[in-house]
Amino acid sequence: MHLVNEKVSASSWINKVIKPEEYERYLVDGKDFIDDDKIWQQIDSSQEPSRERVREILAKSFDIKTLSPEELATLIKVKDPEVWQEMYEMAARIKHKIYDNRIITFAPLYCSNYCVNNCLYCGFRSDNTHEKRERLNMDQIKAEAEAIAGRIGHKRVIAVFGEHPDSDGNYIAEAIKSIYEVSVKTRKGHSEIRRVNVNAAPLCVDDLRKLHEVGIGTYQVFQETYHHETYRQLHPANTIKGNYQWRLYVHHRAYEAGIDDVAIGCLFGLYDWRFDLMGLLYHAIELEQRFGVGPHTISFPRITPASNSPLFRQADHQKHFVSDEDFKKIVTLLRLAVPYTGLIITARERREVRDDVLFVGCTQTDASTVIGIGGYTKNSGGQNIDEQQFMLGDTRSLEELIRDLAKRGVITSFCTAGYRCGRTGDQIMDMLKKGHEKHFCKLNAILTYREWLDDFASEETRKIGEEVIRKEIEEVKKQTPSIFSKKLYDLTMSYYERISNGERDLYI
Amino acid sequence: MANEISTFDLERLAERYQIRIWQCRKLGRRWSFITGAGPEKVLPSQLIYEQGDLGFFVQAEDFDEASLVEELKKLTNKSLCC
Repeated sequence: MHLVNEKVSASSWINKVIKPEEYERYLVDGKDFIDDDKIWQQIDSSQEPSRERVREILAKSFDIKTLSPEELATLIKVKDPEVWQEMYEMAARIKHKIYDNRIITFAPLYCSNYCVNNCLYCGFRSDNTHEKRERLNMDQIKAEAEAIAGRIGHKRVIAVFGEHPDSDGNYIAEAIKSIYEVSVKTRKGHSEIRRVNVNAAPLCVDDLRKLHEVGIGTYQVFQETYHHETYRQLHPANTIKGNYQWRLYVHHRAYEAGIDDVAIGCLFGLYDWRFDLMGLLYHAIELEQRFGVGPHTISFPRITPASNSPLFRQADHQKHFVSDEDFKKIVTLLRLAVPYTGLIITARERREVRDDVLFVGCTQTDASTVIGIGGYTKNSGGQNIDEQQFMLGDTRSLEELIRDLAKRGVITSFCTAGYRCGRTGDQIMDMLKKGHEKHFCKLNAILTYREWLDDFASEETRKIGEEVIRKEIEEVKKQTPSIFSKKLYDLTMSYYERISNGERDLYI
Repeated sequence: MANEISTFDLERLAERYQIRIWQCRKLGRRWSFITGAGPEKVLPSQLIYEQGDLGFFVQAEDFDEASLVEELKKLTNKSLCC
């Protein structure tokens, strides 16, 4: 094991990272599961469907069944604004059916921006001398976690790491452990990070086991673009990231290592969004078929300007940029195509875009977001393009977001219960598909919202929040005993009482 | 690391006690699902027995917890001996 502060030559390290045998065994005749020609054929051969055909497909989505690529290609072809309206509404209904009226929040925690790759669109790429490089040590990581949990009140983070020998599997595992060790005294109780998700480079099975052993939440890796040729152009061949298949099969390796919550994603704007949307569906289907568990979440960031980025200097760099209208379609189509999955929209997006698409099926978002290394501790405010991977579009605080959501009848949830009582992997997939999980979401949202209001809310927000809680409890009461048993209702209310008295982290 | 019990035994327990039961492995703060049996219920998930890093969760209205825990003890010990 190489220690975090032990210097390893990047070039010698790079040569050892990729283990071909860990992805080649999944290839069929040397090919991966993304067939570019076939995907284009499916998109091109679909005609604009009749309203009846669309409704048949929507009914399948509402039944919480993953759509086939042909069905998604059919929906992509819809042009009629009235039919799109039906699709938006159905996406919102499906989200509510599976996850209820709650939004989970989290904070990104950037631990290191050293990177050996050279992706043309990314501020962290190795050739970018403008970028200020930093790697937090474990004390600094803990300080960041203390600020996130103790000052803002988040209960989950996504820890982000560049691909570099100084932020390898050992460092990531240590970082996860350090974040879990933090507990901060609050106004009425205490606060801590209860779920550490990780966004990092594709690791080998042995390194992924290390993350599994320290209790990683979700392991998230984005393919960026599924289109082979575009991927090749944007990720130089002499880099680790230049190997498309090493990246594509990292979720397979995660399952092999025992990590049963994995997240996929795509950076929209690098290639035609219709193709990449199909790629995400193929990826979800591949995971479902191979492991019986689809992606825990899907992310769909749109590309935004990054420090000194060669892509943004190209004359035609905007040819695949996604409009706000198409972005809303992407989110809707993802909710319809992979109905059980969590969908994450981040503060990359402008406020008005986020507010709009949150309601067509998103389940998670971030707030009080800082993406500079050590940014929560520095608490300098503002954004500096040379200190972060990209620019944020929405810098609302968590409190502002909670208030805005509350005004629209949405409860913000800090729930991390599922993975602490074994509702993970195929267990949670099954519960999501049957629509059972939302009942737990509802109760845990009430309990964690109570915690946040008591520990962090201003008087004004607390008043708005109290009204949300009152309505939620009223609804639960009405659904007892038809949905919630008397036993469950009583338990929830006793937990609620105990939390109001200062106990923390009680969950169903 | 404690040994798991078989799906066959979990199914038998689920049937006998009319419960949903699942076994998990503790990893940091996480209880990671391994296998389970019995129909899902909208009921609290109770951690009823732990041995080492292995834990057993149950969803049920009413059941004989003491008897179930005894059976789990025997089964996990049996697994350990095999």
